[in-house]
Amino acid sequence: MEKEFVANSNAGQQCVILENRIDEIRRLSIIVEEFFGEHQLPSEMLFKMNLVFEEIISNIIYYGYEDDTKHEIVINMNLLNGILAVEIKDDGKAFNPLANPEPRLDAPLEERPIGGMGIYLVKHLVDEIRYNRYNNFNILSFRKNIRDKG
Amino acid sequence: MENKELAIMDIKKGEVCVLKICWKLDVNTSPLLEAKFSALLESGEKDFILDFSEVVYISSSGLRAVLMGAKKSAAAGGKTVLCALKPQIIEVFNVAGFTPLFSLFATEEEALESFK
Repeated sequence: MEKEFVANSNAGQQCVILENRIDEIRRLSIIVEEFFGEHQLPSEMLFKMNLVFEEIISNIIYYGYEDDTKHEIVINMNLLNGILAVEIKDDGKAFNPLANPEPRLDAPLEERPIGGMGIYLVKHLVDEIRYNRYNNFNILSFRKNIRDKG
Repeated sequence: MENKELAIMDIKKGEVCVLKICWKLDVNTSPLLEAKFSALLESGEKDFILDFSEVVYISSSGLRAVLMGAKKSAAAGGKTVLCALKPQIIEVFNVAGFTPLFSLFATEEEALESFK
């Protein structure tokens, strides 16, 4: 059963540092699940937020680096008054994922492009998202009202 | 760590191959679905039902695996239909514009009927 969310009853912060390996996404999803459990956040939102994290982090890991060395991706989650604010920082090459063209959603099956869906999903699942390049870091910040079901 | 493996059972029902996908279609597991599709297509299968009744999570990598499989089965002269999607999965399909691309059925029986 889903627990009812009570406004203002909880505020929380969490910092997670990931390595640039795809299997780290699974570790992050477990941490996010614990964060949601600890703050009694709705389970529909857990699915959506894990989806958002997976798309952003996998994008960074697949396309962000021009070498094969270890990099850190720093995630800060901040929950206040039912709003989850997240900042994701990486030291990959300058890249604004939000500037990518949107995929064609009206194409029939045969013509439908295979890629390009991830960031499109992200844009539609968060309330607000923005990109900044600062001191050689890519910083992607998004906000989501966790009290909404949508 | 949780088990990373994606369980996919394939069951032959007449001429149709039912793929029962379990748990999560994420960036770790979706390549396994793509590989399964490819292997079955190579062995001559072309009609598929993807049983989503146990799927609780899908990301763009899972959508990509489903789309690739469907394209290949169509190219082989067959088709791919989906059944028993949970509401949160349908929501992702809707956002991605996937709903018009696929025939979605509530149950496996209805999905099987669509091949008759």
